[in-house]
Amino acid sequence: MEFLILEFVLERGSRESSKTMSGKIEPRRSLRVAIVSILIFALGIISIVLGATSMFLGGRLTEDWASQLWVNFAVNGLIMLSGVTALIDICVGVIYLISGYLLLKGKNLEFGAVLALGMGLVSLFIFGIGGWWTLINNVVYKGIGVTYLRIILLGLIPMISGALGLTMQREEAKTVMGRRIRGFWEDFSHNKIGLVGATILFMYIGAAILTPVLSLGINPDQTDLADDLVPPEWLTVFNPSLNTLPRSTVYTLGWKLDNSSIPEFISSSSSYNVTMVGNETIFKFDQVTFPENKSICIVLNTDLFNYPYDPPRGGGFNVIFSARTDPNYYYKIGNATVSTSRALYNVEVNFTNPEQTFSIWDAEWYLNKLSYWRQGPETQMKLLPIILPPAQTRLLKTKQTFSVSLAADIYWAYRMGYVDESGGVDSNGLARTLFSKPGNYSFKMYIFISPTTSAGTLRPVSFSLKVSSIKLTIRGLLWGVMGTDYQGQDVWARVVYGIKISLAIGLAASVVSILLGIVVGIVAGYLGGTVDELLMRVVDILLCLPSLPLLMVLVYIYGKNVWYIIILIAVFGWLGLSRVIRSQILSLRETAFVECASASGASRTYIMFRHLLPNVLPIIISDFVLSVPAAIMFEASLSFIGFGDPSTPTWGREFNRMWIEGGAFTHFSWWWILPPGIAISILCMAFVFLGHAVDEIVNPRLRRRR
Amino acid sequence: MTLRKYLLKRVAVGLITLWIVASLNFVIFVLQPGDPARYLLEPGMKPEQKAMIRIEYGLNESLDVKYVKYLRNMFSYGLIPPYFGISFKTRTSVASEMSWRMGLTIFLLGITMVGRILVGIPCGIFAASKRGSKTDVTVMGVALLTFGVPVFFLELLGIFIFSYLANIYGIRIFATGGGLGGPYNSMLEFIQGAAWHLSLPIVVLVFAGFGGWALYTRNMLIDALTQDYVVTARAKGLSERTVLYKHAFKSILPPISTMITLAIPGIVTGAILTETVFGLEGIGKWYVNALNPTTPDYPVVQAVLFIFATLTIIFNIIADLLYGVLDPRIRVGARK
Repeated sequence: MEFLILEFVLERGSRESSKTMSGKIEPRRSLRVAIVSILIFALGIISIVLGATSMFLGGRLTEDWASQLWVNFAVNGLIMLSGVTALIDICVGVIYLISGYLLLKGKNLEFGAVLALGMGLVSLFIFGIGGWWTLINNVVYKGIGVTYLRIILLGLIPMISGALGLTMQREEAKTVMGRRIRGFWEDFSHNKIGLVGATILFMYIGAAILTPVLSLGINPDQTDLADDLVPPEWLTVFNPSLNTLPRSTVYTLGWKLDNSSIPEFISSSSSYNVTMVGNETIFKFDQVTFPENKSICIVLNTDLFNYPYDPPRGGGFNVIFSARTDPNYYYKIGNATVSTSRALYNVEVNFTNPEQTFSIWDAEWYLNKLSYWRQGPETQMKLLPIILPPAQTRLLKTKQTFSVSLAADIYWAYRMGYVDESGGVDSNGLARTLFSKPGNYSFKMYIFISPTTSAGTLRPVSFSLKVSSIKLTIRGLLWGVMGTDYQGQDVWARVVYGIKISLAIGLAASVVSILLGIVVGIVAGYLGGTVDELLMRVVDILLCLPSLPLLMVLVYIYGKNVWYIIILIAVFGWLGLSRVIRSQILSLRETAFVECASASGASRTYIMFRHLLPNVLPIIISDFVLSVPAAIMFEASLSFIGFGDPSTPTWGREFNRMWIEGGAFTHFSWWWILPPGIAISILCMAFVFLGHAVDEIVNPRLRRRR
Repeated sequence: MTLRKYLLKRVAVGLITLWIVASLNFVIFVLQPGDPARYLLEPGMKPEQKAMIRIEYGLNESLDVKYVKYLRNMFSYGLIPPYFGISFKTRTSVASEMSWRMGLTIFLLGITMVGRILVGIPCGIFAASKRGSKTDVTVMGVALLTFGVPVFFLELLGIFIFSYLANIYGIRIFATGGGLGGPYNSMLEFIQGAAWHLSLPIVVLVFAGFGGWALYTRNMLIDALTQDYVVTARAKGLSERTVLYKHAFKSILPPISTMITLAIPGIVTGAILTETVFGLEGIGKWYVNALNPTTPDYPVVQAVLFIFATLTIIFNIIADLLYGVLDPRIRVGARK
């Protein structure tokens, strides 16, 4: 108690002396002041310019403009928060201007510095959170540059300058504050548990800032990166036999026309043309009369590609094949109009593995209709159209142009097995038969053209074919740092993205609840009387409400929005703190220095926030440190039951997915179950350790008996 | 003020709180858009049947009549008709289902609380008696660890580990099938099976929760051991054990008993997560199922919320009273 009075006297005294010194800045300090103030001033101008350009130029820019660097930043800023950023930039810039001006003028140095510091903190908060939010919801990594630029330019630099500005003030206050901080640090650094907690916390914050780097650039929402529920890749270190398991690969193979398959009468015609444009092969001829009524076969080959692994569980083919043929030929028989095409076309795609060849697509078109056949040359196993039901080939018909996107999912067929030529069902699965051995594989495409006759004469045929390269996607059975979940999404990326969201939610809810608790506690404690009664009744009533069930109902009714959840957690979180603060204030109210302060004419607000608040600061700090993990776990529990925001990738949502939808437990996928739990546990433990250390410092009863 | 006045004041405040909670409940559900009967009506109903249902559920009446009826329903606690309303899903009264579900929840959480106290307090005493040594740090480390790990994650981990052991290695330690087990033929079987199925939840919950008790006991005991009378007792030559149990621990019994009374209100609402994970048909799981977006069960939600609030208020009042009775420091302080 005496210590506090001494401090109070010292503070009053120093303020008196510094008041007489105001306006006079010692010469050795003026350089620092000038630098700092010019910096902040310049930042203010930059910020206003940035905001103005976003606002005025944003809508009228084209892609060419956007290639210039600074304009790119402005445009990206606009894309990110659609004009709100521009407004924020301008407001922030104005405030920095004011603070820089104040610093320059020298009259209100401290206010200017505090303003810059505060604004820096606030913009750090805003851009940090805003940037994290857009990075989560809009996984377009274009915006990341401008976020970091903003955080550094408008957040960190003003903060540091403001802090520097503050250090130039009031030597006495500086030493008092410095002494306090140094004392705290001395106590803290001896507490090993606290140090461990602090280190872990800083690592998490670093991970939250560096999320795109830490998650190895993988988008957490991208599905089918590998097969569902596959283990991580580093298991091969412990079990080398897993090395033969397939990894996710995409084979892109271009088609090469086999020139020997093109008959003379076509290749010698003037309209014959073969080109390769990009990854597409274009082949055409125009109005060529076939010499005989026999079909020709045009062959397209791909190169051999090497597949060195065990058979996969799933994957897919994709090739876009479009052809243009002659229009139909109409003739009348009696009253009916019959149309025939000038030729019959048949297309077949074969897949060759080291042991056999399979026909994976077989179609003919005749009279502008595509239908499926079952035969083709060189095939030993027929794969029935169950792998390629017509629904999966999208047929776009414009006049005589057929464009078929041939895409097939092997996994689907794996589930169903397939029927071989003799009618037996092979339950090994399609993928295992197709990719039976590691070795060289290839594709072949056959195009059959048979001209039709009209009144005995062969009709000339026009044909034009465009084939894109065939893409074979294999879904791996080992993947990444932490494997995949039930939709093929990368678990490690999801956990890393969960860090910043969970931290953000926990910190935001805690900060709001702390502020509420402080204000209510101090006001109720100091003012007393009816205000006290009223506030304490409110606290009593709110304390008696069951928080989780009520929260569930409110979320159910008003929608699952993460902002609601933050506010609701905060509303339930401030009650305990306000009670504790109030009881402390009740005892502090009667002390001498408070009496002195009010006797010297200090207003009640001044006493409350200038004298009482610093004395309850230890309680507040220790409560804050412990309320963050409580908020994080509360949100995780809410998301786990299913009442969280489904668009935010928190860890609680991960648990919900793995428990209700995922089947992680039936497949014993420890790589999905453990990481989110371990992440949240370590984070909360770091806070608990920190809180324990702070508790030991703050609570004098726990100190050792000297 | 006297005990009686204090008690009356607390009860009055409690009733007002209950009324506010009930009204909040009512307002929330009344303000919902859409026809409140849409979960009761089925597509094939004739207009007369729809009208009958509306009359039966009282949906045609004006707001104030509805409100009064609702309040009467809630405050009768399911003892008189309409017995807390009729559940949309099972078309029976809410109160009839609530009784046995409540029994399961209270059983589970009561045993958990007793277990946590019985494990936590001795750990705390042990750690305090050896302050600063490795055992102290380990015990406190484990206790702090369980603070950080979310309870539902420990439960999921428990299920994972024991189902893995059971399915892959055939080692059956705990039952992980969820719920209370299959059809039972006799009471004895039921008791055996239920105990077997409840063992994993209870073990995990006790493990997750003993840390708070251990920490609190340890801190209080350390504080007590720095007092002068302990120095005297040791100087008198009493054994460390006597000093610890007969003097120090007895002196901290009041705050510990107040902690026990303060933990009782947590019994009721603490079960939601555990029951969801283990599939136990208690109040929590019932509540969660009633709040699903496609087929909500409003009478259940209202009744359960009201019961939760009532129990919390009652237990808080009891805790407040016991607080004054058990901790003489408070009594003495008030008299000053």
